[in-house]
Amino acid sequence: MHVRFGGGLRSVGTVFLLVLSVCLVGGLAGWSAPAGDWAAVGEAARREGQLVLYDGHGGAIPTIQFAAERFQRRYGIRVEVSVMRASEAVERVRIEQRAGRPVADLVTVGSTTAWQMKNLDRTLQPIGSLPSGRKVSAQIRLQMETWGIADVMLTEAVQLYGILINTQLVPPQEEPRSWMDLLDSRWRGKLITDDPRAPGGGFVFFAATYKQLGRRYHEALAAQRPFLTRAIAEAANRVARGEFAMMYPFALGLYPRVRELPNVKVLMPREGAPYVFQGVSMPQTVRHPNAARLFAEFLLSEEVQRQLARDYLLPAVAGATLQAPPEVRNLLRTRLWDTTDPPRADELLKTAAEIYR
Amino acid sequence: MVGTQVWRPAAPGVRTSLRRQGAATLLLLGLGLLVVYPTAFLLYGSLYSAPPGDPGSLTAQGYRALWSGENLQILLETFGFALAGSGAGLALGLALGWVVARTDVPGATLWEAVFTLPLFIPPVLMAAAWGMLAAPRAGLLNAAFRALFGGEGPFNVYSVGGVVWYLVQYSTAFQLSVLTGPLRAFDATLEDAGRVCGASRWRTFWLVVLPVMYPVISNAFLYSFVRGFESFEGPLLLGLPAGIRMLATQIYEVIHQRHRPDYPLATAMGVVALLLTAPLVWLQWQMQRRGVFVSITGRGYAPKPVRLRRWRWVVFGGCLLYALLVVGLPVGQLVLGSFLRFFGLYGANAWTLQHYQRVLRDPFVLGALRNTLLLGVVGATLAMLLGAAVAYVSVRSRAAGWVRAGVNLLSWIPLLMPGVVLGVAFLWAYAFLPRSISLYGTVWALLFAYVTLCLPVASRVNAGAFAQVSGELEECARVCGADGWRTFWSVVARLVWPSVAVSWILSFVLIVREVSASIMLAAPGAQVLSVSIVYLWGQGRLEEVCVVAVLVLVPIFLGRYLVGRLQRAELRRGSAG
Repeated sequence: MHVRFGGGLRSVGTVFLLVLSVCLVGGLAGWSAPAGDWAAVGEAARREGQLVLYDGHGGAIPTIQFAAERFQRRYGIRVEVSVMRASEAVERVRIEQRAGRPVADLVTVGSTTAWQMKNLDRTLQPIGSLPSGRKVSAQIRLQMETWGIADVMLTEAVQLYGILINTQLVPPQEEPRSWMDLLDSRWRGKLITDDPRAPGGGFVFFAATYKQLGRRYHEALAAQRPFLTRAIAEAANRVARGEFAMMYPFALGLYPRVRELPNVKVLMPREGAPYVFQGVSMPQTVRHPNAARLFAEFLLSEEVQRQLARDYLLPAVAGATLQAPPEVRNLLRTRLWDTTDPPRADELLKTAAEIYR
Repeated sequence: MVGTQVWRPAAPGVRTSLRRQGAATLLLLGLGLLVVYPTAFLLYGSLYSAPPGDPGSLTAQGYRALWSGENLQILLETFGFALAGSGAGLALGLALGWVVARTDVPGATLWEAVFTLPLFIPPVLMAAAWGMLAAPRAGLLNAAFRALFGGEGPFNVYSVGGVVWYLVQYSTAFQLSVLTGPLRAFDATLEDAGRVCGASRWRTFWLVVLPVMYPVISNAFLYSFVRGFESFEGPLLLGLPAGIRMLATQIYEVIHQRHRPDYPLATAMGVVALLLTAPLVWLQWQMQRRGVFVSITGRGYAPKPVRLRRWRWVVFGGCLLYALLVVGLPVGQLVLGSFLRFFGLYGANAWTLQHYQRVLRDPFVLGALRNTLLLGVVGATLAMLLGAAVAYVSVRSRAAGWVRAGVNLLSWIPLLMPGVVLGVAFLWAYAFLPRSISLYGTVWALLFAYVTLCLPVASRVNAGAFAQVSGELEECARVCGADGWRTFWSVVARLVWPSVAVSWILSFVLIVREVSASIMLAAPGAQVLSVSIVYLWGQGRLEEVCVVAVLVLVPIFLGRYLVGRLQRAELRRGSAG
């Protein structure tokens, strides 16, 4: 599988040097904690007895709830999950830190949010070394190092984006094989999309395809008059109900919800899938630091990683996909195409707003 | 003005006056803490370049950014939408309220409860239901139209008309809910006097009923107008896709849809909304204080229904039609949706009970249901009591004019600021309380926020009802030896309880539906229903959102029906006595 991360990394030599530097940095920082230290963390976590997790994905990733329940069962540490939107999680964490009233011990984030919280809000602290840290795919670690957020965000999975179609409205011979096929005039007014002007999946798709296909692609796509929405799960429902022929970008994590329906199908275009990293971060001051780190470690456990794959998310731990059902494996095997560029998020959001009025 | 009395409080003794002034001033101070403190954070946010806690400087950048052609147009259009929604809502609410409260239409109490049902449906679900009914291509109404007449169906809920329709539904339900109690208790002898003087029924309605009902109507209309001005979910789901922007969706965009939230601009929008709507409150207050129009006096009052005779069944048919079109369609979608395997896909094998089983076994939703019930009951009760106190002081007390005006204005403020930005203001305000007061992160923060948010509706509904009761009844009780508390309890409370009960129900519903402050303040482990609806909605589990809505809707509907029945029974007893 060929993976290219971002537009800036062009040569094999650069990639090699970066991998080398990640290995060196990883080695020096100790991607894995010594076993003795980690046992002490576990003991301290049990004494803390509680963990508060802000789920900034708004409940869209069911694995978080699954992990919270299993963690509680295994360690006897109560996990309180508060569901909210990413912007709300960011502001709650910021105000808690500034007011000196920390509540959240962990917050689920995407890479753009983690970059913002680290560099602009300065509300995150390094998670520290985890025993399973070295199991995280080297490609993910490399990318996180490039953005400078490897220390504050633990990636547990990768969300891939494809196209959801209504098979009654899109005959097999007309199914899109490429992202370019969305520009076919027959789909004008029949597309629904996650709004690219706001942080989220639509923006991930915009950033990735803007880099790969350029501004003219998006100008042509905007001319197709897609229906812009932020209610992404409901957008998939609307495709299933026949209100729209296709939804793009379709987060594979939403697929379990509609996969039983006979009239929908997910397609992964031949160029590959735009993608985004999903993970957790730890605010600067927390009340249950050990429980937070133990939970971060638990997210990399085989149990959670396997569940992530079952929920159609590409697990961060290489090999965890192997035990997933074949239809899941096929989808998750899609080539990773491109993703956002957190430091350029502001600029790209403005561009998206210019194009999609 | 035929039959209208103007009651003005008599001058009290010095000691009584001081005691009452003290109590009223104490209420003013309490409201100040509850309302002004978070509002001050909003003002601070609008005048500072960074959000609270971050280094920044004084600036007017938010207001400057607001002063753009686009934003001014949004304000103007928002005003238009709110006026259209609340105006049509008033006309419909008054007409339907009059029918169910003042006529002998069959099933009046049931109609009353049915017509108010849209109030109890979560806005996201209402928007989704109308999206399914009137989406341009796949909407059921358009499909039915195509089947009957051919061609494209004319319905499109993602339009100006769709947004107005959405606003009208809530506005009608709200205004009807507020108006029916006072309309039912309306003294029919006032109407009779008008008729005796030769006025037609229609003219009597205009010249007698409307002026006497002015305090209730103006309160209901103004509340509904401001709610429309700050309406969020409908414009977001139905308006934005059609390029329609309203104030609340613009604030939402500025806070939630940018890489970095622009708090100076968002809070400036909140402050401007407050400044634009506050004069309306002042105007209504000025008009109302010119005279308190009472219909329940010491001469005995005789509320009796108007006999429709041959029109009885025609009016019944009209009620049925309205109930089917405006209530039956979305509520039917909701109830059916809770039994469908997949919301919106019908068929022989499409039905299931599994969503009920899943919801009733989901600890997250069950916990939220329990917390909401507790917060709803306690919050609505506190809001009802506070609202009654506010209404009593501003409408009936003999406190100084500035105290009464202050109490009245403060009770409006939480409504005058859009909920999207008010949730952030609550977060800032409670987090930055002195360290000795640990409100943030506890369930108490939510309770305080809910009581603050319910204050406008509780005080408006109660103010309208209090204004209708003549002060001579209280004076009569005091002459008979009753003390102040006994007078209030056995005279005023006996007469206004249906409105007080409605204020409790409306406050409870508001707490159940409230999202912005709930997300910002929910304590860990104490999630509430509105947040669990966001959670289910976020996963696209519409069927389970329907189940939650049905579980909430049924008891509220029964409660609303019971209030109507009890009031009717009491009025019948009163008339018979």
